[in-house]
Amino acid sequence: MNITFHAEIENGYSTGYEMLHGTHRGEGDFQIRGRATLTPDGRNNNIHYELRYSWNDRIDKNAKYSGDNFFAGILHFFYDPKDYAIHIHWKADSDVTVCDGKIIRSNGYPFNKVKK
Amino acid sequence: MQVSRVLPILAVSAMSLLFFFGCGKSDSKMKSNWKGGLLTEVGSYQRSSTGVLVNVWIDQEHLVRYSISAPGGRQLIRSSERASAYSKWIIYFDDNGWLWFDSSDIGSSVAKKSPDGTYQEVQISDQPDLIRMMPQEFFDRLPRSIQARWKDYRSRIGK
Repeated sequence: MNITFHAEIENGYSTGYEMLHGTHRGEGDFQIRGRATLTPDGRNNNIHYELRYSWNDRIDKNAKYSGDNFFAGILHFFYDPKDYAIHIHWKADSDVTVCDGKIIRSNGYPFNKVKK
Repeated sequence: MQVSRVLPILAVSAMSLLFFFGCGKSDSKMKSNWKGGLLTEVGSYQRSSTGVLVNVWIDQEHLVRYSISAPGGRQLIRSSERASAYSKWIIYFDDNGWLWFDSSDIGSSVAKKSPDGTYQEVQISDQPDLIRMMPQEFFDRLPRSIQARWKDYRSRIGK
């Protein structure tokens, strides 16, 4: 499997997630790569996924926001920060059972909630 | 004063400034003798040579939006890009009537004008034809890592 698409989470300025907001297409967007193993079982198809997910993005300050200027100014006092690309990868497995084109059972990421 | 006590004070001060002054500029302004080129502020820009109107605004979701309208007011395109206004963005309206958009949140795209006057929004990742056609002033403002990757496409045509 090798899928690339644009992904988006909440937009805002108060958390790191919000600042990520959307993947950057110039840096690779959102990628899902890995292996899918199909095992037919009577009328059902069982698929086991071993996947690597990648969130590709850019981080830089927006000079239009005084908040960004303020924080960047503080950082410049200590060192010389630069804009940068960020690539967040994680691996996760999942199992899906498909019957007549519909998912009737699913287990693993991203179907189950991640335990914190 | 100890550093461990200074940092929280700095953080609180910063957050205060952020809430009072950090919401960006969303005031709209009309520029009627505009010659095209680079846009980095929201507002309404009417090109003096063609009468085409480019509107740039920040919507309720705090996303950067734009539209292009014909001189009679008919809207030719409205952006579907979902670029955060908290991230850096630029727009360049070129002499062919193409609108180039870049956001450090989501990347680049272009609203291409067809010969019949209709527009189509195209996302730019690694399409050599579009990268070659990018106006130099727009290209120069892209992130350096993107410029480095794309400059080979442009060097083949001598830009």
